Amino acid sequence: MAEDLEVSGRATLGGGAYRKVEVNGTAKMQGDVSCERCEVNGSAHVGGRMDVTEKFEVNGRVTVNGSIRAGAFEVNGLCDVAGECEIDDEAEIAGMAKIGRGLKAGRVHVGGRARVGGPIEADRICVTGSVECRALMNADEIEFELMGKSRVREIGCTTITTRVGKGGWFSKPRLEVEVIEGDRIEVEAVLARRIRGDVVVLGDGCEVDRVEYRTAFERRGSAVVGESVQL
Amino acid sequence: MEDELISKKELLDITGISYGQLYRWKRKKLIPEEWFIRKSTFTGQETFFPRDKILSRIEQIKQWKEDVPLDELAKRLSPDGIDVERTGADLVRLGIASPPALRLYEEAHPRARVLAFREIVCAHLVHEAIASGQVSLDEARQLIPMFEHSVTMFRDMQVRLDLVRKLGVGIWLARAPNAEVVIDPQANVAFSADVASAVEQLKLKLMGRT
Repeated sequence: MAEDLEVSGRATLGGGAYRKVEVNGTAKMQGDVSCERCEVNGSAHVGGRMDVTEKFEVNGRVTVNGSIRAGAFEVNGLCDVAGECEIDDEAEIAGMAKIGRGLKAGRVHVGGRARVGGPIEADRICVTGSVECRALMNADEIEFELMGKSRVREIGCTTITTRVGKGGWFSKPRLEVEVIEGDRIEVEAVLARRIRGDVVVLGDGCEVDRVEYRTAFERRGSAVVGESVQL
Repeated sequence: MEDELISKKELLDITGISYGQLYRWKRKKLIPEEWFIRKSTFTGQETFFPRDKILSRIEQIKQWKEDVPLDELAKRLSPDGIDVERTGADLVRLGIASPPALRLYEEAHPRARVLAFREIVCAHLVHEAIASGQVSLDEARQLIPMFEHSVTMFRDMQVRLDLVRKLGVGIWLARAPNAEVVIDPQANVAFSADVASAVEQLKLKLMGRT
């Protein structure tokens, strides 16, 4: 029968299986940790993997050397994971998250900042903050409310909409991407080399080298397009 | 003997599927990551696929997607998810492995009475090797540990096995199907087998569908 673990002061532990883990102080866990729920309000370092059946909530600072697997994931503070992040349901990043490899979840919501070294995969991705992804962002529905700069290498989706958020940050809000491919693409403020889709609508602030569309293409406002080809 | 490639655009045109579907199926692991081959073309980076494998896979997905949840379908399509067992005699009857091939397999695994899918693939490859007339019995025998090792290294059996021979000595080589490999000019590839293609063929034979 696994027990609860509560860390208030400073503790160094080996790792292990727990029921509820709550860190209000500073915890250094040297191995793999598995538990039902985890809440970090202070600071925690996990030397191995982190496996949480239900919710993993980071309000303070967490670093994980291995990968994270959780039912749900919420980062209000800071989280740095060297490996992958695999979440069953919702991954909510209101603070800042740095993920060395990929992020996979049912739904991803980035209100703060996320930097992901590998692919981001979800059914639905909603960004109201900023995202940096070095690989493919792959989801059915993708929605960006652009605040500041987001950079994604490639996007593949069913639908994507981007619009410039109100009350923008210091830098000009924009999404920089090499290629977007999807069924329905309706975007503003996107800087891209290629956009390919069935229906493509480019609005204000778009700069795209080449558009390939199957059904319809519309250029609105100040959108600049190098060439557009119907396939 | 390398796979003929097809571009993403051609794939969408021929199969009638959309970008959204292709990306969703990739995400759900219905289409192996290894089949997405990036090449530079004059319009930039493009993605290509092994033609026969992808067309066959898309057909299978289209056929089953209404009846089977995508996660379940992914399991069935992956070689590890195929829950099939056959005796040696069944394999001979189905034309999957010849008696000599089976004998070699049984020498390596004396306790095997009933073979699981992974083992069936192995026995079949040994059969193909012998049947080609280019592989000696001893070399075919060595294919068995080679296969078993390489499937632990290559996900979903996406691997090509080559027999490289120089001055009468053969060595097995396992590589990603579309990997560029340069061998000693004095050596030659006596036999080559694409395991993933063999898996697709076997699935059809074992599941009784043409």
